Amino acid sequence: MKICGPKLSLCGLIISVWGIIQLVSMGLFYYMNSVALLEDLPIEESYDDAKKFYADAENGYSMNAYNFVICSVWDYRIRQLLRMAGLTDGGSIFTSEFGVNSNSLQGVEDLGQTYDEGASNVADESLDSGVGESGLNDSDIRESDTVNVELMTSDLPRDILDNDLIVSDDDNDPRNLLMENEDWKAKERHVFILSSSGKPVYSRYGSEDKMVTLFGVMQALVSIIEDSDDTMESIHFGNNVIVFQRRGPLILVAVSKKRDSVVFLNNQLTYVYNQIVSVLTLMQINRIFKARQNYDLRRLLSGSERLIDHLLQFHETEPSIFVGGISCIPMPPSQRESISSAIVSTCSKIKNLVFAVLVANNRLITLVRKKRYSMSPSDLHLILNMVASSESLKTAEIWTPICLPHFNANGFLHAHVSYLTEDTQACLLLLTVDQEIFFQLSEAKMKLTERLKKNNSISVIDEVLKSPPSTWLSLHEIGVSKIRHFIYKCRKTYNVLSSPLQPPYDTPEDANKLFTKYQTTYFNMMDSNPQSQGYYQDSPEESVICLITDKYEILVAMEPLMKKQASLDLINRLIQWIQKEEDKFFLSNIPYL
Amino acid sequence: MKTIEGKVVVLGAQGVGKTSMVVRYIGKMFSHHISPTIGASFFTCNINKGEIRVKLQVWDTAGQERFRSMAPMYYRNANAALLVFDITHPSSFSSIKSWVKELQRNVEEPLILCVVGNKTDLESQRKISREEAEQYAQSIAATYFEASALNDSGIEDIFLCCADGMVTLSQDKLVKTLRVTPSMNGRSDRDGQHDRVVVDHPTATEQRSPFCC
Ligand SMILES: Nc1nc2c(ncn2[C@@H]2O[C@H](COP(=O)(O)OP(=O)(O)O)[C@@H](O)[C@H]2O)c(=O)[nH]1
Ligand SMILES: [Mg+2]
Repeated sequence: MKICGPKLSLCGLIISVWGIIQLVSMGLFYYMNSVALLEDLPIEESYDDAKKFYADAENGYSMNAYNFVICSVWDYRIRQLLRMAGLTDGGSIFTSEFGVNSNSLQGVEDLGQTYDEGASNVADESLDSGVGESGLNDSDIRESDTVNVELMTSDLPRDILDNDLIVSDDDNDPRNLLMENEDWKAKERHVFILSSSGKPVYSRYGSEDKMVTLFGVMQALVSIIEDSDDTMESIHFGNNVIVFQRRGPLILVAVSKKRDSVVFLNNQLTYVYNQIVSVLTLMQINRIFKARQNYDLRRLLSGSERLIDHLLQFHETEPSIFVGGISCIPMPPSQRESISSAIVSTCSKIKNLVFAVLVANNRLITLVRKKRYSMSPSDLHLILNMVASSESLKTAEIWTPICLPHFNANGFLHAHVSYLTEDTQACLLLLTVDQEIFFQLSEAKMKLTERLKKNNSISVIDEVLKSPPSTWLSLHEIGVSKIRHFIYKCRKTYNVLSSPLQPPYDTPEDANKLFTKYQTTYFNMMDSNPQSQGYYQDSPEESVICLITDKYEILVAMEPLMKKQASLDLINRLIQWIQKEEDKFFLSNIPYL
Repeated sequence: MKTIEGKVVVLGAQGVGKTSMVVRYIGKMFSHHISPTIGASFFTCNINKGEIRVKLQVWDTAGQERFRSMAPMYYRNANAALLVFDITHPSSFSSIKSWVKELQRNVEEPLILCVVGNKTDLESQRKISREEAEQYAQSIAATYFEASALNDSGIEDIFLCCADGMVTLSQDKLVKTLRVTPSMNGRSDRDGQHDRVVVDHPTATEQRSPFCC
């Protein structure tokens, strides 16, 4: 069904143009120091000195005038963005809550605040927060009726008309293609990357070429705010959140319709940015854009869109990533040690080898490193992401430059990537700073495979990967079967343990719902800078509990309607069990090469 | 049995089917959803030519611009280059021309050149005619092949041609990059289960150029 036909959209257009007129004229009235607006000015209650009162009022008038003009341009832009992102259908925007957050507004708690008590309230709001560009009133706009469109379009600033949003019926209009695409609109989380000059770099769904206007709008929004020495951080709109991140010459934008927390989306954007750095290095990105501001970065990223696609999905579905830790495949500790020592004895003579990493199925088996160097969890996630998104023949050996942003954002390491044997999931990565030693590494890998075959490690790994997860961890056997799922992270070692997804979370949709809950809970707590605290959320589906102490972080999904104390007792029992058994699940000792 | 070890580099624009060709030959399969190569992939395969075992070290490079600066690492000391283009994409054909220029500038030893027009299964969308490609191949003393990784047609001939060329090169005293080991038992660790062993393959001796097979 088409919700927004030509008539409704024309109506929407008229109404929003009227909104702009109103705001611009409000701005004008302020500019003319209209007395009627005096009470909205950010001035003190009482004045002893008439001179000071006039000076303050003057200041207030000009500040509010400026803010209103900014607001109107902004509002128009934001609507355009939301609309193009398929977030709103024509007029529906007028009934929704609306709020904008820029960095100087950081202290303001409620971002989805409704401003429906008239435009004067907007000014009140700005008084409280100390800035003007905070939000505007939509219901007010809706109530206004007769408008003369012609008159207004000629009055509008040039800047707005350049990006006009009149819906054309031309099927070849790329904006139409985009908006008609139900599939695209139905996506719940979008990610866009653009250069600061507005050139598209990446879009999670659809082809960037069809979204040039959308990218232009995003760029304009960010730069309008920046012109006023402010930074756009997020826009809130009903269940919709738009988060902006400015990273050197790149702008990253996340759009979510899932009421995601801003911290979560920022975390996701940071990962995406790191992925780009990992492909190009920070130095190269900066150098390119310094030389040519409107360079099309897609040329250099071609072939790695897949890495970003996969990373986004990985970030949303893999618990260890969003809690910022590492999960290992379970294994008796002595077994893990013998694998590590086989790696050390095979590779210790290779000069310039920095890390040797053995992974399987997105999890770590073991990690060996050169003295003084360490691997950050987020770098390791990029490595896992590369392995997972580049399946090729198992017999191939890949030799590729890779930058690990936390290790060194400005330089490449060289990675030798290969599976231990043709029929195992265990994949070995040897990371070096020397680009000439491929054959040395290739030989080392062969020797290592022989060793691991001989001491039976490969078959142990294969068995672990084949065994059902419940052989290692069964909530039922621990005696906490009221706990349906959990994610545990040791804060000292960054090791993460999570239970297998069982009913009712065994379908991707249900798991996704649970993870979204976890993410919101977890990032809201992280946001409030936790020392030791807990969070409890009850819903008909489940109770989600998050506990953070200086030793661990745990997220738990429980059966609903349990007494709080009873749930805490169960969680304690679980934690005791984990701490007793953790050497099977955790990599506690990272040997040196 | 004598073993000759030689290096083959596969060059060409992204998406022309370089990886698909190698995977078809070595892994005997084809996937429509193959990931773009990152950096380069290294494969080995063995081909028996009578009393000689030819061991090919194949470097499948990524065609992306960002890996361009790494290319010299792969064609340095190479004995054969497969220059692959997509017969439905004219730009991929011009791209091999610039690769050839780069090779001519930077590689000093004799090099076996094979120009490969891939995706012949898309005959209806062909943009580069067989004649045009053949003519070009001749002008650079290369052999021209048409292939389809999808249909597994023409792939094997390309690698056999490389092997033949290596045998010929090994008789050339000036060639130093080929490793020739006169051993009784040529099997080394590197020979895995994925070896291709072709016994006494009738060689294509027709068009022989000084560089090529
Ligand atoms: N129709 C057709 N498609 C092919 C053929 N060879 C490769 N492709 C497709 O072309 C795309 C790129 O292949 P790939 O091997 O990754 O190219 P590379 O970048 O040169 O390594 C993939 O989608 C393949 O499925 C072929 O012979 N016929
Ligand atoms: Mg490839």
